[in-house]
Formats: sequence, structure tokens, C-alpha cells
Amino acid sequence: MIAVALLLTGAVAGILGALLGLGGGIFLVPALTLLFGLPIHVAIGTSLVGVIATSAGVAAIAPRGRGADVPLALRLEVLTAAGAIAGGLLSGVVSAQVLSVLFALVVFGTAGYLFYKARRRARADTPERLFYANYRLHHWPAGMAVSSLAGMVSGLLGVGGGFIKVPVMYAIMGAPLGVATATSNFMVGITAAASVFVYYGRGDIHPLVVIPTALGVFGGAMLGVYILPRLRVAWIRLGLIGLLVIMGLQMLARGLNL
Amino acid sequence: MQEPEDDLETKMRTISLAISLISLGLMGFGLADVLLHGASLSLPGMAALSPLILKTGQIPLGLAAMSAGIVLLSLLPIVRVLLALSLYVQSRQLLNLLVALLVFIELLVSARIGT
Repeated sequence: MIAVALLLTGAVAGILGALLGLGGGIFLVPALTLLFGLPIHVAIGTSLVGVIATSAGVAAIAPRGRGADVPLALRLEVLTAAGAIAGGLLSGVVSAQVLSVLFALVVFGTAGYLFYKARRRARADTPERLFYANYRLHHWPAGMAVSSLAGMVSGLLGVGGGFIKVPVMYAIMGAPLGVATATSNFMVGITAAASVFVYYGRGDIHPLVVIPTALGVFGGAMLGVYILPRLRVAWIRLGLIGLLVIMGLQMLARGLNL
Repeated sequence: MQEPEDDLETKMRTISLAISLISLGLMGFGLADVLLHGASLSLPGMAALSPLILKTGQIPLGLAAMSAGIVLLSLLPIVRVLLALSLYVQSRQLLNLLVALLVFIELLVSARIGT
């Protein structure tokens, strides 16, 4: 029964992760700690394997022309990974409260910018497409700067950072939303791989928890890829804004000790 | 003839599917074996085995299979970066090659710092 519950939890995380380009860790860690009473390190270790499973599931069945923009992902990942390493090293120096408030401000700013873009888009005559070829990327310096911040936040706070990467690629750099989510899924897999072996070596990877969860996540991610083209961009964008607001409030509450 | 990006996308999909299925198969087999041998399902249960211990062969088959599956799945993103690297070498895309190499080195550095 517990295995089935873990499988279903993983499936929900996989679907949402594939739809929003997040990897699903944001949902898995709270679910595993609050619903299953697991220690936080076990939850994070399980979540990291789950993020890799989401990334794998999306990559395995993405239709031609709907996969990640690999050159874009790798260019952004150079600074994201460097930021993650720097963040990991800095984590013992900067207070968690300061970091949480900083994190919340970044998240609220991103949500506000997305909302502004959504309102502008709503006035346009043509509906927005999830995927299209020959898009032109711009604002590279701003995109890379925010990506390195996302990496630093990942290293400092132990989250994947996909919820920053998608808005960066979509709202700042001008990638189509479908491309941004697929590329983010590719990137969060790399980021998770950088830290999963640390948790493995510490003994925080427990197969009886990880395996049902990973199986659910993988299946859920494949289902997410299947339903993604059938959803309207506006719905996905609304989900992303809602998620950012929830995350921002959580981080603000943590930072202000509320 | 396929463009390098199309070729990369095809190979990434094939490798991702193959490694995922093998690793999930190993995990599923291991889980079934452990449960058939009467393991308790109380959480969090036993920890995965170190890859170094896996080499010795003196461990239960189910636990070894589960641990190997988890390690294999965890290596997939690194394999994908290596795949991009090899394709950029073949197609002589120097800037992309340099970027992929940097990411690969950073992954190695972060793993080294982590351990």
C-alpha cells in the first residue's frame, strides 16, 4: 500500500514536472516529508533521483522538434553549474533567513514579469504557440546572470531551480514556452546528477522509497509529455505563475520566521 | 543527411529510453526479489549500496540490482552531456564543444567537492 502511495505521489510530481519544466522536486520533498514522515535528507535524496527520472522520461519520448534546445541548455548550464558550486561553498557563510528572503524576491519578480507578459500577450490577436522553429534568443547577458543566480540558489537552498530557468528562457530570452520547459527538464537532470552521488555516499538513498517513487515519476513524466501539446499555453503559464507565488510565500515565511 | 542537432536529438532520445528502461528494469527486478524474500516494507528501509561494494558480489541479488539501477539512472544526465560532446567533436562545432566540455568539467568538479 505504501509502495502504491509512493508510486502515485511520484506520478503526480512527474506530470507536473514535465508540464512546467521543473523536475518535480518542489512537490516531492514536501510530499515525502509531510505525507510519509521521511527525514528531510532521505526526501531530498529521493527527490534528486526523481528529478533525473523526470528528465529521462521527458527526453525518452519527446517528439521530434519538441526536445530540449541542447546548445542553449549547455550554455546556460555553464554558469548555472558554476553558481551551484559557488552556492554550495557559500552555504555555510550566508544565513538561511537572508537567502530565503532573497530567493522570495527573485521568485516574486519573475512571477510579476510573467504576469505582465501574459497581459500584453492577451491583447494580441494571434494565439501563442508552444513550439516553433527559428526563434531568436536575446538578452543573453541577463539570461546568463539570472541562470547563475538560479544555480547559486540551487546550491544554497537545495532546490532544482527549474522554476527560475523556465521564466528566464521564456520571458527574458524569448524561447517558446514548450522549448523552455523541455530545455529546463534537460538542465535540472544535469544539476541533480551533480549532487545525487553526495546523498548516495551519505546513505540517504533508500531503494524501498526511491524505486516506487522513481517508477511513478518516470511514468508521470511520459504522460506529461503526451498531454503537454494538448494544453493551452495560457493554462501552463497560469500554473507557473501560481506555483511561483506559492513558492515565494513559502520562502518569505521561512526567511521572516513566520 | 541529418543536421547535427537532429542527430543529437535522435541519439539523446534513444539513449535516454534505453538507459531508463534498463535501470528501471533492474530496479523493478530488485524490488520484486527483495519483497519475495520477505523484506519489510517499513520506510525508509535499507540504504542503497555503495558502487564499490557492488563489485564484490557478496551481497543479496535484489539489493545489488536495485542499487545498480539507481546508479545507472543517476549517470544518465552525464552520459547525455558526453553524447553532446562527442557529436560536437564530430561536427567540429568548436563553440558548442567548448561549452559542453566546460559543463562536463564542472560536473566532475562538483562531484569531487561533494565527495
